[in-house]
Formats: sequence, C-alpha cells, structure tokens
Amino acid sequence: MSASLVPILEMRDVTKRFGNTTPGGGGVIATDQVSLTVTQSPPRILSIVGESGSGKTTVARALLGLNPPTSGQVFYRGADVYRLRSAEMTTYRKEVQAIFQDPYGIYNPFYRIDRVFTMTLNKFRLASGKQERTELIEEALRAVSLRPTDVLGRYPHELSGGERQRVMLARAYLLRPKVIVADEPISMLDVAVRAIFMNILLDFKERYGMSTVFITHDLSAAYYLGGNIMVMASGRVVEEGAAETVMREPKHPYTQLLLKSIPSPDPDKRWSETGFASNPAPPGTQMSRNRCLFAERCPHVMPVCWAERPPMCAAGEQRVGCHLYHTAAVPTVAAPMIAVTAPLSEASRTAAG
Amino acid sequence: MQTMSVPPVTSPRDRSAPLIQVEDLRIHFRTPRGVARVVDGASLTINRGEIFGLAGESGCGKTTLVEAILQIVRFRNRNASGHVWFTPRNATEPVDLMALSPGALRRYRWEHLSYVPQGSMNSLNPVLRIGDQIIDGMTAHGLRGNAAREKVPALLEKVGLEQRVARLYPHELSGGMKQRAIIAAAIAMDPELIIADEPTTALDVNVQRVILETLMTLRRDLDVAILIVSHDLPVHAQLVDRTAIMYAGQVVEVGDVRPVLKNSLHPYTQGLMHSIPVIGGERQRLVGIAGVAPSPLTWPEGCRFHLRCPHAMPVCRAQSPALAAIAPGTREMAWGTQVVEPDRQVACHLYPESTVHDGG
Repeated sequence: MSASLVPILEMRDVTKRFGNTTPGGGGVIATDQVSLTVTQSPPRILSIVGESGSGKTTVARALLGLNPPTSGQVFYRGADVYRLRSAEMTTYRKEVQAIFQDPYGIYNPFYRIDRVFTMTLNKFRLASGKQERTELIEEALRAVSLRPTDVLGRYPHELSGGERQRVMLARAYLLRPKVIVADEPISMLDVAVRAIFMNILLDFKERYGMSTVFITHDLSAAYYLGGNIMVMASGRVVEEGAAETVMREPKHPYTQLLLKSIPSPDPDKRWSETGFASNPAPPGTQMSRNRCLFAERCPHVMPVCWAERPPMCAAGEQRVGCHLYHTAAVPTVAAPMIAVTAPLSEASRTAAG
Repeated sequence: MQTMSVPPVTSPRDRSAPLIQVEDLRIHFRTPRGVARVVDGASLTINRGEIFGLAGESGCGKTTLVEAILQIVRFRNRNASGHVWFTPRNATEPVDLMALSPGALRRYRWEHLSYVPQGSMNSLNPVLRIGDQIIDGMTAHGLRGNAAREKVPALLEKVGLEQRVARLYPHELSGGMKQRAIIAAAIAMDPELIIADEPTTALDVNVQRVILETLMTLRRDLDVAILIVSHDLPVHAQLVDRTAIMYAGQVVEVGDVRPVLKNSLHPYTQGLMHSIPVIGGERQRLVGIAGVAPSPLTWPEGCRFHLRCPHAMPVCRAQSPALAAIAPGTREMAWGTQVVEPDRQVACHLYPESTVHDGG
C-alpha cells in the first residue's frame, strides 16, 4: 500500500564538491543542496535545464549511483542508493536506466550492436532460449521504431547517431525500467531525429509507465516533453514546477533570461534590436556562496541578494529561489513580471559594448 | 586590392555580379569503400552585404561546400568540378576560385574571404595571449607588426570585448568570449565575406544570442557579407536574410528566410520545421522525418529525398529534380493551398518547374 507512495527516486539536499572548495582552492561545488523527487505513479517526465556548468550532469550521475554526494542522500524506493545490498542493487540497476549524451562514445567498436542486447538479457536472465531472445530484441527495436534487419548484425560505426541513441532506448526498454535518466540525449542529434527520440520517451511514459529524468540545455525540448521542470544555475535549483507553467510564466530572472535568449524558429519573431543579453560576472571578487549566485547577471538585483542565500518559496504555481518572491526579505514586491521589460535594454547595451 | 594581376575569367553573369556564385559544385572523395559524393551538384548565390544561411542535417555536405568556397578542402583524394565565382570589391569580372593557383588564392583568403571554422574557439593557442593571436593573422597577410597591434583595440571593440581581453590567455575566457575573439581575428583584414561554420553550436542559449547579435552588428557596421552554416533553423530565423537548405550534397531549397521557413516548398524543409518544438504554443506531437539520412557513398537514385518523403511520386524514383525558380502565385498542393512568393527556388517534382524534360 505505502510502497506506491514512496518515490522511486529521490534526492535530498545533495551537495557535491569537487576539489578544495574553500575560497581560492580552485574546487567546484557542482550541486548545492539539490532536492528532487521522481514518482512512479503516475509516471512523469522531469526535465532539468540550465546552462553548462549548472550542475545538471552531476545530478544525473548522483541519481545513477555514479557519484556519491559529499552531503545529502539519494534514495531509491526509500533506500540510500549508495548503501544498497546486492539484491537491491540488481533491481535498482534494472529499474533505473541511463542514456548518455554521446551516441558515439558508449559503444565498443569491436562488437556488433547485438551484444548490447545479449549482455543485458544475460545479465538479468530475461530470456530462456535463443528464440525468446530474438523475439525480445526485435520487440525492443520495434518499440523505438527501428527495423531489426537495419540494426542487428551491424557494427556501431555503421549506424547514425540517431539510430545509436535509439538502440540505447531499446536496450533500456528490454528491462522495462521505472525510470530512464537521460543526460543530454538529443544534443548531438539532428532536429528531425530529436523529435522522433522525444516521441519515443513520451510513448514509453504513456504506454509502459516509464518516468524520465531528462537533462537538457534545450528549453524547447523540455516544454515539448511537458511534465515537470527544474531550472538549475550555479549548482542550485532556482525554479521548479510544471513545465508548461514555468515556460509560460517564468518567475526567476534567470529562467526569464534563458527563455528570452532562445531563438524562435519564426522569422517574424526575431529578437528586438534592444534585446537582452547576459552580463558576464565580474571576475576576481571573492564572495561567499551565502548569497544569490545570479546577482551579477540579474536585472533586479537588491542589496539582500548579495548578503543572503535566497530560500525556495512559492511564487504562482511554481517554487522559486529568488529574493524577489521571498516576502520576509522584501515586504513590498513590485510585480516582477512587469519590471522585467524595463531593465532589459540597459542590460543589452552594456553587453553589446 | 590588386585585382589587375588576376587574369579575368569570362563569365555569363552580368556586371552587377553577386559576391559568390557556386555553380554545380561537385566534391567527390575516393575512399576504400567507393566514391563519396559529399557535395554533388550544389549551386548557390551570395550577394554583397547579406547574411546567408546554409542549413541541413549532419553529413549533408555543408562544411565541405564552404571549404570548397575557400578552396581548403581537407582531403587530397578528391575530384572536384564546378565553379566558385567570386567578384572581389572594385573588380568588374568574377574570378573562379576553383581555377586559381595557391599563390593567387592566398591573395583572397583572410583579406577578402575569412573563415571561422567549426569549433575554432577551442583551437586557440593556449600559450599565446589573445591579442597576439589576432595579430598573427594580420602579419601573415602582409601587415607590419606595429600596424597590426594598433588595430587590435578597435577589433575587440567591434565584437563587444573589453580591451583587457587582448592581454588574457584563452583559458581565462568564457566560451562566448573565445568565439568573439575568433570573430575579431576574422574581421581583422576587413573581409568582404565571413564564413562561420556552426559558430553557436555547443554554446549556451544566452551566449549564443550574444554571438548572433555580434554578427548582426558586424554586418551593419562593416557591410560585410556573412555565410553562416548551422543545422539549427531557429538561428537562421533570427539572423539570416536568405537561407539555403541542403540535402544529400545538393541545395534543395533557397530563398528569403521568411518564406523558406514559414511557407516551405520542399517536403524536407517542411519536415525540418515540423520537428522543432515551439515554446508557448499548443503542444502538438512533432512529426519528425521518417527514415535515416542517406550515405554519400550510395545516394538514392532520382530525388534523393524520395525514400523519406511523404509525397513521393513515381517520377521521384526515376529522375533527379533540378533546382528551379518557381513561378509566384498560389497553387493547390497535397497539404493545401501553397503560396509561392517571388524569388523562390526548389528542387522537387511536386513543382513542375523542377522536372526537366528531354530536350528542354
């Protein structure tokens, strides 16, 4: 009864440091108290977006059991992922599947594509006999719209990037995982192939109840997939909520910046001349992380932003880590959505130099 | 520039010649597995001062085509044919870059035609300061060291970088700053054409925007033409004046960016546009394009897109359509009424102009 209420994957205040992270130590805080929940019923797609260096991949690797957090915990069905017993580990490895960014780097070039499937089938003892094995593989390939004859018996270099990425999905499909953790799976694919890949993820969710953690820098992909979205910047979650709401009414100035920078495919919706560009953070100043890390680039920066880390608070239907919405810090919030338009042109002039 | 010393090549073009005219370009590579016809009959025209976009899937020959314009195709095992007509400023007659000696070509490179290769921001020399690397290109093309050094501040300003960047090393720059430094080097000799191959790929959206706005500013301030290669159609929508869609080594559609993207004629262009999710719109299922991109070793017979085309007809299997001007007006197509604006070209049998008849 309660089993279905326990999230399949959960991160609680996960902080991951690399190297010496004291000031001047040259280290990096890749994720800074990141929490998230992946539910299984109903299945959801959770997109994690942000610019490079925002900590997206570290979150994926922590979820996949590849990166023990410095502090905080990752739970799989309520158990700490990094302390699983061997039987639990096997189910975890089966139920949580990974798709990585580079469809070229993950295959061993010496083996035919078939090996990806046979290894999986053997490891998890999914097939008894050759006949069943072939049937399972062919079913998996058809689930990702590949013709078995086009793929089986070939070597990785004979397939296109899109085909290779779909083979990875087919391999995952064999195991009927509960969650697919996909780290930038479409960034190296052509647009037409991207659409097909995302459609498969949507099918997997609807038909087989698979949830996806979809890591991307492409906000339009996250919008298309729907579900929930988590926007990360400098290792922190700055905004989270339903993808549709966050994209239509972004609250955090960083999300607003990202959305404004996306080129529209409509030539009639070009960026206005007085467009909005980001100001690079001024280098050098040794500041603590006990502040808003977006302050340097924020058009609405206030004194409190340099002095205090903004807590996550409700804003509209989403949750935002921004002092503009933290009523305790700012008793009178000037409607931020309206204020956005005014300072934009100034920001762009500074950036355009 | 001294165009006198270059032998004038007679061309059928009129005097107000466009900047670059690529005619029936073919670059075939001999490989152990057969002949790879990477660029196979591509034609396009770039006018002075315009931003021209070249789009298409990976492997369609975009990069090889621009390398051919500059005559820097990387591999030796190739057969090349066709023409790349270039009309330098103040010249009356175009020259065929395909027919020039390496010495004669060198006169045009960097001074007339500059190049920002794909990923070049990652090939800055890590042990040289940015300023010195910008100077390098200028001194290599005949400027004295001091004269070159004096130009650096103005070049950095044109791309929106601070003066102090000249003293920095590549590792001290962000991706966007590196890309702008590369562009500063590319405009150092006041070229007539900048060729930028995927200049925003692998950059974050906000940095991408800064780069695209930098290119727009340069075109306005320097009146330079820009050929931008990008698989990313939204980049074209934001930046370019005219765009060409490549498929399987050929240009299949070309025209002003607005009609090409909003009113696409070629089923391939339509498929590309139907693959792009748009934020804020109704969430419709994207169609994508069925099938896989063909290999240059074995382009399909007839129209190279017919295996993936939802509107393929018998003629598409038999005959290769020609890139032809399409008469303006409206016409009824399988997908409804299609408006054809002036100056549109497409290579597709759905438009009778594209079907070449024997003896015609």
